[in-house]
Amino acid sequence: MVPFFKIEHLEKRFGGLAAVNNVSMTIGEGEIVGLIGPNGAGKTTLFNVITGVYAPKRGKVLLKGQDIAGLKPERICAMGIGRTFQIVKPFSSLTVLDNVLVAAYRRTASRQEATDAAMDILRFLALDEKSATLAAHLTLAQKKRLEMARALATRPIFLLLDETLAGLNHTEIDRMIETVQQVRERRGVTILAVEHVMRAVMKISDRVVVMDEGKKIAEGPPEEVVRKPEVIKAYLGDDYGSA
Amino acid sequence: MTAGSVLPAACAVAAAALFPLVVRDPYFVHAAIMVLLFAYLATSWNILGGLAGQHSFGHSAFFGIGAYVSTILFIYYHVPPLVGMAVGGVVASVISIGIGYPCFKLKGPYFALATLAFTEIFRIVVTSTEQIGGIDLKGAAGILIPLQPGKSLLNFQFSGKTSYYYLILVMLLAILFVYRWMERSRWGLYLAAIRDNEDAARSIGISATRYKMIALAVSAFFGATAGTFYAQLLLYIEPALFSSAFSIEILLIAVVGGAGTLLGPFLGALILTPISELTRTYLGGGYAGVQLIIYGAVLVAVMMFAPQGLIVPLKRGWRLLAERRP
Amino acid sequence: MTGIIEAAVNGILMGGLYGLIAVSLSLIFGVAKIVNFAHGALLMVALFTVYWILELLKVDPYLSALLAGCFLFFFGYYFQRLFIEPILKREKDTAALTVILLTSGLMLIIENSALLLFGADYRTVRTAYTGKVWEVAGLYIMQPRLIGFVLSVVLIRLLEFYLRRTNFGRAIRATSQDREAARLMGIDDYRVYKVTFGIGTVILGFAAAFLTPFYFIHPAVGDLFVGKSFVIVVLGGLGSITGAFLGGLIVGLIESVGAQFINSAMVESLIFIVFIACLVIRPMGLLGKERE
Repeated sequence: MVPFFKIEHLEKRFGGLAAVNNVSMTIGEGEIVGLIGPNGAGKTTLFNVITGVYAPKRGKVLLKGQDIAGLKPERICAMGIGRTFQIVKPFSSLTVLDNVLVAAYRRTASRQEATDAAMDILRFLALDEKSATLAAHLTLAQKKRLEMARALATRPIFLLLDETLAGLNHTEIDRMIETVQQVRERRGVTILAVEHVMRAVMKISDRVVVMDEGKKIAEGPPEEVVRKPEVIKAYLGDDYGSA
Repeated sequence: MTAGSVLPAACAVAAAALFPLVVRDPYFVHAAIMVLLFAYLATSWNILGGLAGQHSFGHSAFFGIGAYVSTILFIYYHVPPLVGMAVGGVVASVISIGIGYPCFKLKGPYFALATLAFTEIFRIVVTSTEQIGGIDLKGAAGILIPLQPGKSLLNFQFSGKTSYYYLILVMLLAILFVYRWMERSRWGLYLAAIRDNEDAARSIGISATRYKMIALAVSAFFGATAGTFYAQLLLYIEPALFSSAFSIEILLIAVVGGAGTLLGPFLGALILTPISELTRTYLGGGYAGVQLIIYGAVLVAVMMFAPQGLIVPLKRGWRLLAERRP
Repeated sequence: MTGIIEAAVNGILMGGLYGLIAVSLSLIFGVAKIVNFAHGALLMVALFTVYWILELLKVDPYLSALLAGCFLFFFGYYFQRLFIEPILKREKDTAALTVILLTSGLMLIIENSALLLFGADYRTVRTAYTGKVWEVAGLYIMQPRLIGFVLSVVLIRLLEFYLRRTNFGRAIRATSQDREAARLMGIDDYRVYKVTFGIGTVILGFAAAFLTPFYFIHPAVGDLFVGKSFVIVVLGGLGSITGAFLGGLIVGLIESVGAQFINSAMVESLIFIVFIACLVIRPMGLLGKERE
């Protein structure tokens, strides 16, 4: 049986520094996996390698058995991997609807179909009332939802979420957690999520992977992983003042 | 186009169509032709610079290619300039792909510098080439285009300036339609996404390079046609058409008016081109730099106080005025 | 063969001056991330400053650099303060492009004002060094070029010492590497930018003084250097002082040795081709490193 998603011995270097160092992991279809670790652990770089922003120096990225390492980001999107960005990147000069429409066009050339699909997703993320607003004028929480809406409009089978909860307040976080769970349940999307809000990680993840200094240091069910000494050490060793 | 903008647009076109009938002075007609030509040229830049957000510093390369290709075809192969115009456009499009391939790997200031380097290469090569394959390029001296007997649109030979005026007016309207059409199309949406955030655009599956390349090829095509028009208007071409200074002037017109807006480049040409025409006439050779000082001052002021272009405060003012009326 | 060696030596000597001018551009580019299209115009200002000092005060051309430097520091400082700083403070993402256009506008103003003020004549200054030649191992070497080269090397060494060993120099380097972190450490980044710009124009003053004994002065003279300077900066790696200097030597060498084989205009386009190739193949420059 070919695993849904697998990375093998992945390595990416910047100058002499290994930002991602010999990382391997497997994700099953329909899983929600949390990716945690202190700042600078290499989580975002790992995302960037998976989504084709950087080509890895070594290793494989296998989606349903096919190696996609080193493909361009637009190709990887076409293979069915969607992503959001830690620092939101809306198309500021476009309306909320157009932000999602432009992504929906990747699946259909018909304006009507694409608009319907986009509106569907906007309703799902409770952004439909903002559809005519310029993306630049949204609040941070709304921009985070827009990131997700845009990624979903490409109809991914696998979604990478990069700190979707950072900067949100308590209520907004609860709402987003619910949304992430619905993305899996209603749309059958497999999810890998970088997250710092531990409460959310514990709640949504079936499994957690921990990274530190470019390496994977632990993996397992959330309750178990957070008790592991190497994980505690990685976190306590981190200087939160520099965050 | 919304219902509210149809009337002003129709009035503007009518006024432009009537202009040479009211103003008979050939000097003013010539100045008006230059305004329209630069509006056309800056709009062609705007297809790449505005829609796709790629601020090219090398647009004069395409202008020069258009001017030289149609001229050479005309002099050596007797190809009518109207046909030469289309050929020049296609040649520029093809060459633009070769320029875009390396340049689109670069971003922001590096893209600007690389495109600038390209047009400088063209200028230097044309300046120092006297002859190529039996064709006299005449290097730095430039080429004089002989007059053909008889009037015809095909040959760009008209009895007066007025015909050139109407030709460039039609060309300008055409390119504005193309711009608006591209902006509203699926492509336009892709280009806007690339302009706003290329990483995000690629992450949703838009091949940034491919769509930038399309915008560049279209932009180059129209830029080259402007070159042919210019050559046939002045009946003289020179390597300076390829210069980076000229590139900057094109971009300056678009940016001062408002890059990425339909009428910004036209507004820019309306403000800046008369300055150069006026200073040329009234100040003569000894004050050749005055026009450029004014250009520079306008550019500095716009960048410091209205970096989105003058069309933005103008639109705001218009809206305020409209709201005040009952 | 001697001809080629002689061309190579003279190319390297001239390349030292290209390097010095590019170091100035690279410093401003590297620290403040400002793409200064007015760099050539500033060089022209520096050349005219030196020219008038020499005409009016009749001092030694190399000493004139010190006088010119005092004026040029403030010229650069306020150039940054009045025009570029407001844009950097207002815009975050789009500032780079706005600054390019702004400096293009300033270039037009400065160059054409000089044209109005001083006319389009090519001016030269006869100094004690002009036209002097040394014969070394059978090669003829122009004296002012050699002096200019040696002094350029000394000046670049001094600049590196300043950046490494003084407090403000360290502040400049910190700002260049990570502006946010530098700010957190209490460094006033905008002040660093202004001083860096001032230092950059002072370096241009020295370059102008080194050029004057054997070069001409003209309102558009900067255009001859600005393109090459950008080529050199990219070749050497952004913000790298040593890289910029080496880049200068390479360009000087290509230019003068190339001119032995093909015409000089074609050499110029060859330099631009090298530039584009370098941008595409190795955007971090010869000595730069890939960064996240």
